[in-house]
Amino acid sequence: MSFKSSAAAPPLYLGEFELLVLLAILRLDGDAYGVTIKSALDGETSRDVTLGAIYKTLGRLEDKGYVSARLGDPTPQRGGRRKKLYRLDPLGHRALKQSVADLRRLTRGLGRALEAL
Amino acid sequence: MIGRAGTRPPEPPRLARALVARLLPARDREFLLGDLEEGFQARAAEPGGATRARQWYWRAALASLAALRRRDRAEWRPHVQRVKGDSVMKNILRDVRQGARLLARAPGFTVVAALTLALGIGANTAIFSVTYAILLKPLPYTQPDQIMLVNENNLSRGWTSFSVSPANFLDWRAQATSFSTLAAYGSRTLNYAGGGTPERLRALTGTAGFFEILDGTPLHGRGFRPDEFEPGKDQVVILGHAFWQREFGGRVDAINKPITLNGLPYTIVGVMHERWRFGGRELSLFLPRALTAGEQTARGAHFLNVIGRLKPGVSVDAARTELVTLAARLETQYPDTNKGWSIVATPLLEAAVGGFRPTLAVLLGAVGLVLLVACANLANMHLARATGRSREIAIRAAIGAGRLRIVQQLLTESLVLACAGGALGLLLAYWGTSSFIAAYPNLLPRSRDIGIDTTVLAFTTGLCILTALLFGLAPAVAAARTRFNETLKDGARAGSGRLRGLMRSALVVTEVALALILLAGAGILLKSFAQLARVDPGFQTDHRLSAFTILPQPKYADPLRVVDFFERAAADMAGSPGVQSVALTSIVPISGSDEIYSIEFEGRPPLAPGKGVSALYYVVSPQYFKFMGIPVLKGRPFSDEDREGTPRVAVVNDTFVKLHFPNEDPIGKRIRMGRNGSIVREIVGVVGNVKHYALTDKATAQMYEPFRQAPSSAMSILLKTGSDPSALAATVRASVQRVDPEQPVASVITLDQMVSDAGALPRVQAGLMASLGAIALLLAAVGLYGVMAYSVSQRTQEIGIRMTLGANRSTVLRMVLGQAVLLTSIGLIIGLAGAVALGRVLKSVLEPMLFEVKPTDSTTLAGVAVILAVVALCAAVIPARRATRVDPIQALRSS
Repeated sequence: MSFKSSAAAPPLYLGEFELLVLLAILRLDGDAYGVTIKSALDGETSRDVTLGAIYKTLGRLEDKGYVSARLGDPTPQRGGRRKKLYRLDPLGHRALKQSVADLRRLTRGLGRALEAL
Repeated sequence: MIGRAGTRPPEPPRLARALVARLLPARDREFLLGDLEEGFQARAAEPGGATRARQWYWRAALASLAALRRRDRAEWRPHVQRVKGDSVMKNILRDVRQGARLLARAPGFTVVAALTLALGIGANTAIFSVTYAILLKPLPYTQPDQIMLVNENNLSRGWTSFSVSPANFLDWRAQATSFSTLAAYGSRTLNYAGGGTPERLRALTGTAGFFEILDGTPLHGRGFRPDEFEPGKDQVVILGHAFWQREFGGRVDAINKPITLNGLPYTIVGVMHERWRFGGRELSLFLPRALTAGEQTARGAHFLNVIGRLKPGVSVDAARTELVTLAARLETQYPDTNKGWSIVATPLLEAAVGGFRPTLAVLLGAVGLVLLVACANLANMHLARATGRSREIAIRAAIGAGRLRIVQQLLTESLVLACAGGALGLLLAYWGTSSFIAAYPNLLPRSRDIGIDTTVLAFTTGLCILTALLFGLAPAVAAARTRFNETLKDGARAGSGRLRGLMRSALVVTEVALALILLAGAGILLKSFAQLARVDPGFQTDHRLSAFTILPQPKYADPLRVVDFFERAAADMAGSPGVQSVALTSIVPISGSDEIYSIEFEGRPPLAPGKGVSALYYVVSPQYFKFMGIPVLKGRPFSDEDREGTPRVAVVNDTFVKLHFPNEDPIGKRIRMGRNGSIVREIVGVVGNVKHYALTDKATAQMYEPFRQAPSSAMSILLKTGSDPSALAATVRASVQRVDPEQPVASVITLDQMVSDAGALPRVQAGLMASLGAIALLLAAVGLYGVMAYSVSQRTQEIGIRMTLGANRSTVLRMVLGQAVLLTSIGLIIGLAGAVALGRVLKSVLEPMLFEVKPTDSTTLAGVAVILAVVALCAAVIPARRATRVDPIQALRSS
């Protein structure tokens, strides 16, 4: 496998769903766990997202070092179970930034064309 | 299933929760259970959301499990996934244990399935064990393939295999180079009075080399010396093991002792090995066969059986070619006696059992069909069961089992089931074959070889695996193909795919078609048997008993003594209580023995060599025709005046007249015939035809001589009684011993029994096929019932709606029965086509088994189709009636 060496650090790629999940975590600002990520995505995207898909992606992001998790407090709605709360790590920040920048660049000047779709 | 809102807070499905708790490591379990609970409570809070919430919980739990499981592969030990590092064997064993557990948890299903399989596999094992023992197992002799039976044949007279004349045999032995040994053999019986009551012993006689061909070396003592095959030096005997044990208590010092047989002194030279056998019967004596000087030159009289061992490396075909050439040479050398005669050599195994090949082939085919029907049934049951298990399978898939893994698991379960059925089937087969052989000890050749041995076990094991694949593969694949997500979303009515419904219908159609083919086979054999039972043998058998007696030489060398013995014995029996009439005959029709002599007609030019005519020959007493109920068609029967010193007379049968005096009055015509062919006899009467060999015989020429004018030392004394004839056996023995205390009676049998024995094979064939057909019918009915019952349960809601909308019970009944009728009709049409096609293809195999019935007999086919249709409808009526009792309100509410 070859990769471009245009940047000093190795390039950080994100899949589309990974991008969505990272954005949701960023939005939720400290209260990001399975259920809230799901409702955020359910509310703001056109997708019917399953918890399983979210866990799968979170796991992958964790493995890549983009996010980290800690256990939160138990609540009664959760049957006394604790949450697994996620937050972005520096690497995740960089990856997100890079992806969003890429998107911005690519959509620049396409406002009208995109609206016409 | 449905939680009642309001009474207490809704709870997530316990099983799903338990699964998560059990299958996840603690750190994942905590937050996942929390998330699930939260999501569940949110959904349950909506009005009427309890069910949706539960469904969501399941779906989410399984999907999450799947996701988390893939992430932490190493930390997982799920029960459904092949764990890395585990051997395949361990994996299979786990599946086997699990399969057995699951089967034990569904005892109804398991018992029905195992019994179905036991029937199918048992029938196959039984027929295979018989086929293997008879047709495939090598005979218990050294190089059995080298042993051939050699016979003469005369195709111009229609004799495909005939006994051998001694002079021809001696020429073959001297000239044939293909054989290392050629020997003649025969059987005879000898009187033995040494053991108290006189008895008739069965003996096997052979010329030099005969016993060596068949490894017949004695256990004790010695074999026969070469000089003991010369006339006058042949009064030596080797005893059969059982006879030696019985009469000499197994004492080795019996050897070299004298023994009196037929009133003559013999010397015991050996005792045969206990297990040595030739032919099916228990033999008491083994004797050398010395050909007398007169016999050695006899070329026209055929009475020897010949056996030979091929030289190593000589093929059967090469030997046949040589023998045919040899026969042609003898034919030119001795045209008077050998014209038209050739030689036919048959491998011993083929000669002994070849006749059973078609029967066994048809039975093997039939049990194969039964197994197929059983498999179709099981596949059906599995499909129904898989529907019920779709959630379980979805769980397996969700937590990481691949499709292949699920197929493997389900197939293992099928295999466990097949093996259970197979074990049961093996028992059935063992019980079936041994009780069959006990019931018909003489019907099958080599019956002592029949049993469950390693080959049969291997066959049954292979059959179990094949069966498991046959009935398990389709349902397993169907189950694994199911999209588990859809299954779970589908909720209560999980996984009732159209594909499965179609598969089940196709299976029922197959079952009906196969059952029809089997029933058609059974029907045709039964019809053939019924036709056979209606055949008039030409004589009466009821209340009649036959006692066969052979008078020994030289005691009865004088014909007058022979006549005296039988007439006194007959008179004594006639005076005994219960005896209505008595007659004598040299040969009883249907008994299996025969005597054939050539005929010459006075006043006609002598027939060209090879163009001779002959007829079956009987020596009978004057009362015989009346006794047997054989009608006298012309002239007169024999009378007491037909004796020594009066003109020699003969009686012939109707066919004899049709063949040889088509436009003449046979009465008064003079012929030469019989044992003493030089004597001219005048035909005085014509009698009806008698079936001689079997009820299927075509009419053959038959001729009779009066006992007084042609005394025979081997005669059957016939008795008629008003009650059970077998009760007269003691009377017969007592009468014979009053006349000659040393004289045994060789065999006593009722004529009914004789005819019944002759018809045993067709009866057994028809009986076996009928049982197999009945099994197939039952299985097909069960299969149809299952499919209809399932279909009705699936359509309860639809039926409810229809009834709400005004459908009445008969409409519903018609609707459900309509489906059954459709499936049955398709099955019947395919089955009929199959039966006709099979009948045509197997014509040559079937026709020799059938009597006056075509393999594609249309009345039989129509008959079995009707039976099958009626049974199928009966099976469908129960679920159909259940459908009419559906309560519309209940049906609608439950959905």
